[in-house]
Amino acid sequence: MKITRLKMINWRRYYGEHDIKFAVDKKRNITIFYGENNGAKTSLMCAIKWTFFGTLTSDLSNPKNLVNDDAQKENINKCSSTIFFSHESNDYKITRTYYQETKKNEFLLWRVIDGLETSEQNGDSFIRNIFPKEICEYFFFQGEGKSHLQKHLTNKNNSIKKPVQDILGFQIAEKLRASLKRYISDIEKENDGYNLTDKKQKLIDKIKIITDALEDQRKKVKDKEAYLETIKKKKIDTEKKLDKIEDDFPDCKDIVTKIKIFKDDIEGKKKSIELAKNDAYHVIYKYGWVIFSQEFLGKTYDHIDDQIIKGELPGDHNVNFLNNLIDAGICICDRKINSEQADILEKKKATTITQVVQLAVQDIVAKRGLIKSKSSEAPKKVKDVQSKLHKLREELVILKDNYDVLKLDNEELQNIGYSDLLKVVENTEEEIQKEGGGLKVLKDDLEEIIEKEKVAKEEKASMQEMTPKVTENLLRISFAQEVIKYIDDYLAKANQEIKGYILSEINSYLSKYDKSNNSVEISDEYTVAFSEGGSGSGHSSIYALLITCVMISLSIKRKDVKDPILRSSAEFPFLLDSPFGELDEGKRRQLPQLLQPVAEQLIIFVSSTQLTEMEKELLKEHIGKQYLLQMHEIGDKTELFETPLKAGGKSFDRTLYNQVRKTTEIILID
Amino acid sequence: METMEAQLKKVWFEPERKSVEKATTELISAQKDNYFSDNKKSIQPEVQNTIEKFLEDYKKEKKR
Repeated sequence: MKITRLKMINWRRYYGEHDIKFAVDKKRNITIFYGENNGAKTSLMCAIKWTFFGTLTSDLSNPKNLVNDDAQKENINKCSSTIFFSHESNDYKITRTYYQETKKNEFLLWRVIDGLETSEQNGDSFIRNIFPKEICEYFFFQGEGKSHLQKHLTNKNNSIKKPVQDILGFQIAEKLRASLKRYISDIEKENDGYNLTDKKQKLIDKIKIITDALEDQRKKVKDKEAYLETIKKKKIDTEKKLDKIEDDFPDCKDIVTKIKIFKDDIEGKKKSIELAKNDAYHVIYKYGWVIFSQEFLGKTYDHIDDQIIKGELPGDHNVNFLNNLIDAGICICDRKINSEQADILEKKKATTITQVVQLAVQDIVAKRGLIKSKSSEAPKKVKDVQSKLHKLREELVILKDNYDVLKLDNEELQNIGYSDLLKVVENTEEEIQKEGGGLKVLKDDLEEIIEKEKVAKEEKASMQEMTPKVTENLLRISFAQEVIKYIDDYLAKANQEIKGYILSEINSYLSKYDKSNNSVEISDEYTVAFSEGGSGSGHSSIYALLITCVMISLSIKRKDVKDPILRSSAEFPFLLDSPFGELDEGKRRQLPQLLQPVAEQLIIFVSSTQLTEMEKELLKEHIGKQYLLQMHEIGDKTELFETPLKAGGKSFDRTLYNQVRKTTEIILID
Repeated sequence: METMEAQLKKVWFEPERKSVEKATTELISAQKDNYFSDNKKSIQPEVQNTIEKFLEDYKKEKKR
């Protein structure tokens, strides 16, 4: 590839239109631009880089200000750069235009056939394809340590691995590898989403717990059923024994029944007596005085008057009354009069009635009318309750008598264990009921556990359905990993193969042009180590240039390589900005011999002091074009420089200004 | 029973099949097209399609 022409309009320091033609002759393939320091050499090199790739070199000052200052003052807010170049026997023209207002640029490509320009679509991708930026970066060399390759050489690893991989065209394969890794990561995430191993284990543990609980519950149910059977059997056995006793004592059932009935009847009767007693007490309480008074009055009324009642009761009456009580053996309140009480009453006969009795008699006398009115019903009521009570007592006696008879029979039955057996039957029946209830609870719990186990097993089954999907994903991952491995192996092999080539090329150059017996070592990781044999300044700079030359020649050699994995490389003019700057005189003389055979076209930007006549003499027969980048300082003129600017064997006057701004003119040197 | 790894090797690395090599070449080609395209898009669908295709091959081989 050769650049034939560059046309800049208001680009940076280049006001207006500048048209430069480059040396393209096969033998005279070098174009040199001479310029002072800060004389827009870098700007010019940048114009070429920017036109092709839309990027600038990293050391360009004020990179946002692309439009020339003077042009901006004339309200021109855009700049452009056009390059004509030939590539594989075809001619092309490209233009990149920058619009200051929008900060955007526009790129256009034309194919030129017999002077006719045909616009091409997708110019950017065409250029990207034939001049990969990541490769062509290495064709731009900046002598002051700022070139693309030197950044790799000055990093802490001093490794040129990345440049080598760039030149070999690893980018496509690396992008694919990154895509595959992303794919693997996505699939792994999907599988992680299932979290199968962990979930499955948890479920297996859960099922085991449920199964253990189920087994335990089943055992409990079984034990309970067995126990229930035992007590049922016990009940049946006991009932058989009872049957046998009943066979021997046909009345036993009757006796037991009757005993129970009698017991109940006796208890009932006792309760009835208690109730009847209460009734009697109630009636006596109500009518006691009436009865007493009736009797008392019936027998003593005629003898009592208010006058004598204060004294003693008539002795006869007193005696009769107490005798009546003693004879009856029972008080009108139905309380029995025991012998002791009878003795007391006996002693009271013919004694003075107590004050209390006297008062009572007075009260009776006072209530004479009331007593009289109730006297007819009171005895009957008292008699009724007494009669009822008496009857109940008689019935109780009869019941007890009958019970005593039955009791004897019952005792006999008890002696042969009949009652115990009955109790056993009764207890076992109760236990059967109780245990039956317990069994039901256990069975209900068992059903619940069975249901839980079913749910967990169904969940596990559905998880197993997912397994084929997971397995397929593992296959996908495995396949993607194999592709990555294939790529890695391929790249590693390419890396290894090329290392030997680079090393031999570098050392071949050194043996040809460097007389200091210097050598270079490159490790497997492409770490570069220079030998200590060199001397003078610019030691690392010449090595950087040397390695750049080797990389460029490698790229050019690989430009037509057809490779299934690596992309083909590229050829581009070799552009050098101040390559002599840091070199001592000895190394400067090596440089022309080193540079000339590298590329089909060389474009060199130097200051007049860097490339002396001596070095130029070595390049002389290859120089096709020479230009002076003459810097104009605009402002109040002050004085001429004492020494003129020498370039291309000519002298140019220089003027020092009290400048406010600079502009650069490009002058072709004949 | 063959391990999954053995099965994979059989399907993907048989000399006459060269599945991995073929897949890599196809994917590199797709990646190249995308790399030089003005309308760049994700290569992921292409990766997915290629792998699915070879997964189908694997399944067929396994059935056989």
